[in-house]
Amino acid sequence: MNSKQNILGLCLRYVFALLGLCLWLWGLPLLVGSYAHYEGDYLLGARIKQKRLADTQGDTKKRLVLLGCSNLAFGVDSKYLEEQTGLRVVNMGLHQDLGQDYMLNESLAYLQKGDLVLIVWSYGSWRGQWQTKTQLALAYPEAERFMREELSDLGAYQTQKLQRALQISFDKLVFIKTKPKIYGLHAFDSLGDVVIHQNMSPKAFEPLRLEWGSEGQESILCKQQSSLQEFCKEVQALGAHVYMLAPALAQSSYEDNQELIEAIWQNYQTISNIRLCGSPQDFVYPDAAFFDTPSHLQYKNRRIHSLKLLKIAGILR
Amino acid sequence: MPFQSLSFLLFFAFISVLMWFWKGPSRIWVLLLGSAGLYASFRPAYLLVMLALIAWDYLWARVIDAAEGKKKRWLLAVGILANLSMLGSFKYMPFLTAQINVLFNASFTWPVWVLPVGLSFHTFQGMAYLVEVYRKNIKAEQRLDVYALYILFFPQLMAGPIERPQHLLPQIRNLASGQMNWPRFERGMLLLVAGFFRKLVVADVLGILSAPCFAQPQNFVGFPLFLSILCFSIQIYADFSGYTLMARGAAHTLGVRLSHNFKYPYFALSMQDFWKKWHISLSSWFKDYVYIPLGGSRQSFGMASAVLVLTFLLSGFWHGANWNFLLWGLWNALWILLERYLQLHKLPLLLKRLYVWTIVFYGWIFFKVSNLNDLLHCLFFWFRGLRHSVPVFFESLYGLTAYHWFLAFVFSLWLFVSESHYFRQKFSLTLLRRPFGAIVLYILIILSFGQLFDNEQLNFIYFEF
Repeated sequence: MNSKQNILGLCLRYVFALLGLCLWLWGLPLLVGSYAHYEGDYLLGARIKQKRLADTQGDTKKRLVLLGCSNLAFGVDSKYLEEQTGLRVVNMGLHQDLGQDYMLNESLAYLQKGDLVLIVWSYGSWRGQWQTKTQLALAYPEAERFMREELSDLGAYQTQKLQRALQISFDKLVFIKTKPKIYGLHAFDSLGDVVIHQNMSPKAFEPLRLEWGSEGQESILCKQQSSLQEFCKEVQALGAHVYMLAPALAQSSYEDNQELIEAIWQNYQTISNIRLCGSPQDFVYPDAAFFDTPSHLQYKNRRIHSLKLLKIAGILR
Repeated sequence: MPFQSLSFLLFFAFISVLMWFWKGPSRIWVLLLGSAGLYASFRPAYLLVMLALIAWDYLWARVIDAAEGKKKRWLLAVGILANLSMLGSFKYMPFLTAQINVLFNASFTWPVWVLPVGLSFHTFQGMAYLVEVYRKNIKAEQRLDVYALYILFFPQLMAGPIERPQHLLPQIRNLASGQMNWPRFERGMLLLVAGFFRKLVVADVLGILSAPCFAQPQNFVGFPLFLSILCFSIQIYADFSGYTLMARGAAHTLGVRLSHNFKYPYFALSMQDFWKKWHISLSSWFKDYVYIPLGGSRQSFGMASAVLVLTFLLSGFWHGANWNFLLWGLWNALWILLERYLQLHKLPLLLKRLYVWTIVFYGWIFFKVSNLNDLLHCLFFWFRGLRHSVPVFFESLYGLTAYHWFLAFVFSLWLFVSESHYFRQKFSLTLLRRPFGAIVLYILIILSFGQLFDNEQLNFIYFEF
């Protein structure tokens, strides 16, 4: 009897401890997460972009939707594009580590007839990084539905949520004000362009080093191709048009990775339902034109690049 | 499969359940196969290297045991040479070849192989076994499975402690008749989660703070550089002692007591004292198998000093094939020699500790920085520009939030308080007797603050050796 009671007591203790842990793990993020957003988070830019995409839906004016990575966030002047085209411009470019599938799915739900969709992929952007995707889902929970597969590890995701909630609570508690910084929410204007670097001097940056990784060239290109093809099919069924252009890239990085870039571009050429415009060389600029990476243009060069995108895509007013 | 990964936890849970229910002599095989599988998970070819090492030491110890007289000494020398050759060809030959090429303007080449995980630890454990058999302190092990598990036992597989055969072999033999029990399992779990806490919460948070500086030391001067060195000093202790706690905890649950590797080293009162408390299994190995056989302190001052310097140079070289490790060894040896004149015992307690912290923390620069320019920069520029105020530093450095600094401060303090004499007297025994609450608390803290998702970048520092 005694030993049975002991075992029961032991089990109860551990069950209660487990319940307590779960309460902490799920309860605190729920309590904190609903009101707190960490303004130092660059990925919160997704909110601005999604809001603009949703706000412009159903507009009488046609839209120019730019899909891609941070090279678009840093390299495009949406207001200037609107002046040049008479279209409503939505710049969805945010971060290459969010991966191709997220970036396509995120916009698809809001696309409509007559939209002109410009895809400008960074060359290294394919699967994305789990860490970045999770960070995005934490900053912007609406994004969760576009990456169910990535967040399927519920324990890991929930733990990240808890840790973030604690960090936000700490910042609020000690009244730490987040100063505007390049990679924070304050970096964006209301159109979703990064403008914070307007008066900042450029920084030294590492050259781009593209690699296929363990997944291998053939497999990556094949998957990339089929997911783009699928996306284009759905967009065209809606009555929208898809264009694809190369991203802005520093001269030295282009030269270092030319072979790989050409392989990626050739792969795009095999996608039948996409309008491929220009070539990677068209968007190669001197290294001095860039801000802090070989694909983030300086503020003053955004207009040149924006105009070039329009010219090469053939959608100038 | 690093220790701090989920896959290791699952592996450990699986082995624990098996060992709980498995009875009889084949328990040794369960652990042996599990350990071999874990080792092969890093790189299957590693296991072949390890099996070759095991087979050699097992057979050679029996040859040594059977021999007599002068022949026995030669046999021991051959045995040790074989172990050193194995270690040398993986770890030291590329470095030595490069030095020879520089010295003689030659162009010899040596293939650079990936160092099998923990090879430095295993070869030292193997050599300890050969020496102890030679000294007749133990008989050569008859059972290959027992000896193989002595080397491959998974809790100490990656980074020690470097166990002595007298201590570990009898425990492994007893595993056959042993049985797991709940109190011991709980105590083991407490050690395990305490190790996780040290690694994932203390070491890895500090690692995030110190990494930018050591990645590009030339960009840092003054207070940021000083703080980075301080962070690394606590990080390396939390990291290695965390691993040791995990190893001891995992072994304890299975019924094996591994040696202590640390005895509160940052509370040491001299450098000599520090080396009795830091990485004890390695320090005592060098003491027993190098320093004392070469005469130790029972010889002229000049000879004793030379032997001490040699021992520390070898100890530094054990950590890595590079000049910075040799300099680190020399740095430590020189201070121990100096202490004979410093009359530290006359100093108040606080000053003694400050002295040890200064020497040890400064010494970690040699340990961490291998590039000569970076090394010189770190050694001479940390006290320049101390005008950098703390708030400016917190706001501007690395783009990290004050939160990380807060965590680093709180948990480093926790680490030190938990090692203080007062805390140990007051709480340690109680905790070990009633570990449940502490286990839950540690898990809570690890989930809340542990760096659980960047494990690739934040592996154990001592896994490199």
